[in-house]
Amino acid sequence: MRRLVPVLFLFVLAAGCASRPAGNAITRLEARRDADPNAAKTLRALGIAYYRAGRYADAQRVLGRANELAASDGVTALYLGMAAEETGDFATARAAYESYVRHGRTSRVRSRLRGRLALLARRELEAEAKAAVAREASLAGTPGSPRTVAVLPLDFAGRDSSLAPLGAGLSDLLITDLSRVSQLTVVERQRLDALLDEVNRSASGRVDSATAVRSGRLVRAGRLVSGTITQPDGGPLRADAAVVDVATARTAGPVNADFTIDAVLDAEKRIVFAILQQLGVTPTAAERAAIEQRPTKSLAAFLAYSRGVAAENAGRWDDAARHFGDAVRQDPGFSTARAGEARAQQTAVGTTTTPALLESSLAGSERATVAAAQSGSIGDAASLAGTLAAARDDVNPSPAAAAASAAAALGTLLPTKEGPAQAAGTDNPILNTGQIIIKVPLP
Amino acid sequence: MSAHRVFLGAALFVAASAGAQAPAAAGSVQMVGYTLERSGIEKRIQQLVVPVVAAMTFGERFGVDVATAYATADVEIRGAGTPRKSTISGLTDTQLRASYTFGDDFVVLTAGLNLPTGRATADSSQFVAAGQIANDFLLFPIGSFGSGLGGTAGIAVARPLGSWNLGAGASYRHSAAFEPYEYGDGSKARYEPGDEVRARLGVDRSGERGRLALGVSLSTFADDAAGGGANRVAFNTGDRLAVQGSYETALAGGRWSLGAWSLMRREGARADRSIAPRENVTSAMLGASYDVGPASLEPSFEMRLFDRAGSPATGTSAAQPAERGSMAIVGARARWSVGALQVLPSAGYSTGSIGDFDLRGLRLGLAIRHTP
Repeated sequence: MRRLVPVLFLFVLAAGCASRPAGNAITRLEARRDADPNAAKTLRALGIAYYRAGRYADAQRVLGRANELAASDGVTALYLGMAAEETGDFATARAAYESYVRHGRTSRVRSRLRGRLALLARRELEAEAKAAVAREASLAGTPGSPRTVAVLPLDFAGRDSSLAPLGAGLSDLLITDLSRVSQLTVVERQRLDALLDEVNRSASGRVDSATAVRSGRLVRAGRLVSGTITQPDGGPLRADAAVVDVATARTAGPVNADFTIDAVLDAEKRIVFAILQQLGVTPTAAERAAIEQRPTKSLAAFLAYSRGVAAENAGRWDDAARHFGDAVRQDPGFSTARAGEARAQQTAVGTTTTPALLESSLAGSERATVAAAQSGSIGDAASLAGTLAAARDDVNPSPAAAAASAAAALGTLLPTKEGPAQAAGTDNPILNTGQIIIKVPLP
Repeated sequence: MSAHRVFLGAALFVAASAGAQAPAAAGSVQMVGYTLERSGIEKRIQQLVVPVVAAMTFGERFGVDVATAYATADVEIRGAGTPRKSTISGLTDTQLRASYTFGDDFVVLTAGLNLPTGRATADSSQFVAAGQIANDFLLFPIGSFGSGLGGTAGIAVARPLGSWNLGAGASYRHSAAFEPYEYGDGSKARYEPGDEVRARLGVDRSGERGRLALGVSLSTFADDAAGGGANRVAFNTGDRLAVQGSYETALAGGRWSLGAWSLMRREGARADRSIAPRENVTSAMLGASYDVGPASLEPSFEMRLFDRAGSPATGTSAAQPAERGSMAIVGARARWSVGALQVLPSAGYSTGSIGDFDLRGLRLGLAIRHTP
């Protein structure tokens, strides 16, 4: 019977703690928050509880404050990002996810968030496009700087449909090369693409002149480069590009280049310099040299790259990654294609990364923190680390180490080995069981 | 293994860890003494221990600690004829442990090596002292001077389980044979420890009001063996089960803890084929921690009970009556932090009885930890 005493004692302890009414986790955490409004762990737990309850705006507000108090806490950053995504605040979500990538502990979540960040960049551009359309009337009165240039995808009007992606590829190269000139500000391809999506690009993918000018206005560009690639009678290709003054919708004299498919990259350079001339910009010698660099000497690689750009513009990330990958295989030195492949792969991961997947990917202490928050507690990594240390020290004890650190000699009833349980005069029987002991009966 | 080799090893360890992160070290001086009295017979058991430990982490996942101690133990018996005294002193074994944590998943592989730097063999003048510091009821800081070369391999995991944390672990320990006793003629007794398998399951929960932790550990042993050749005798001293629990909470301006543990040993056999009866040591403790200026003061009270079953007479031993004991321990510890140093002086007094003996004890300690 006496042996039952300790067991009953432990049972009573457990019952006393475990039988406490569960109550409402949010109510309990709100009460804790009210008692100490600047306790970061409480705010983190409350924010998680709000998020899980679908109260995204509340979650974002509380987690934002927790993030201010504990900027390097990964779980806070993750849930702040997810809540901000739900409220459409993509800038906050992006900053929060970047914070998790820097400080978060679960590698699976970090990896997924890198993809999510790539997708989020796209979402941010879409949101900006929507906002620009909503403010279109006011934007119309403030024309963009003539040194701000937007380059539309070149239309393809040839018979050989396999060459159709050339338009996207060439416009991408034009953007890259024009961006090398410091006197110009060139609108990013993805930004313009998001805007074109918003202003209802035709199903064919072509942009009519009115839409082009409107788009230029919405992205605050002073000049717009548009054009077409044709293939008369199946012969040499011809590129016709034009620089449009967005404010007046007047087109400067067209820039033409006839070329065979093998000389497409040479043609692109001729077009770039002609456009710069029309814009009245003279590149420096260094800029000219940079522009004259060919990203690849492989036509096959450039065609694959162009297909990748076209797929990326259409939001087909897996296809884009595959085409960019093809380009890299054709020319391993094609660094722009390599970057495109990584970007498309990450964005593809981002499209399949749901908040539920992120939550289920959390591991270890971060998972413990979320589980604790759901039940109205403020668990943290130290708690689980203490649990692990207790298990490790129990299965592989070091009596001398325990004695030296004043743990065994002074007692360690708690697995964490810290706190008032280590009071003087108490001992730990577990730590001594790591020894082989020859016993002599007392006395 | 000689002392200078130990220190050479320690020096190599420190040198090898030059690129390590977060080195930490601790050392202490502890004196524990008990006096047992019964109708004119007085027995004093004392142990003075100076243990040291150094711990290093290499990167985020790999950690190593090495620990050893210098100890001296005395047993003096007066009042029954000529006073008798048994003393043993020297280095203890050195424990070297390594742990590798897998990723973020709170899984740890742990390996330990018990290096035989201690005095594993005791002669007739040392044997009583060497054996009595191993008492499970009195629990001296160092229970054994040496136990030969041994190795432990284990795994531990921790997982959240709702609002609880679940911790589990298992390990296997193998020890080489050693010679615990040297006879007067210079011959030595051979002892082969049985392999040990240990398993642990624990849960803990941090709630609004405090933290509850529960744990249970089971050690099972293969048969030990004594002697060699035709005299070899296999025996098993019994498996051990340890149950622990504690609850810690903020109360009345301080931190309070209530804890208990129970160590149960099943019935086994000794080398002389007599019965090693089942044994149970149970403890309940109440402790507190209050900040007093720059330090923390931690008073405590513990009640410890001992219960050993009787055993019948066998062909090699007489019948042993059941034995019970109890001990109340009151103590206090202070804790000062000075930069990276933590200083912990402590003192405790105990009183009680075991069998027919009255018991009183004193414990003094000073520990210093360095945690950068």
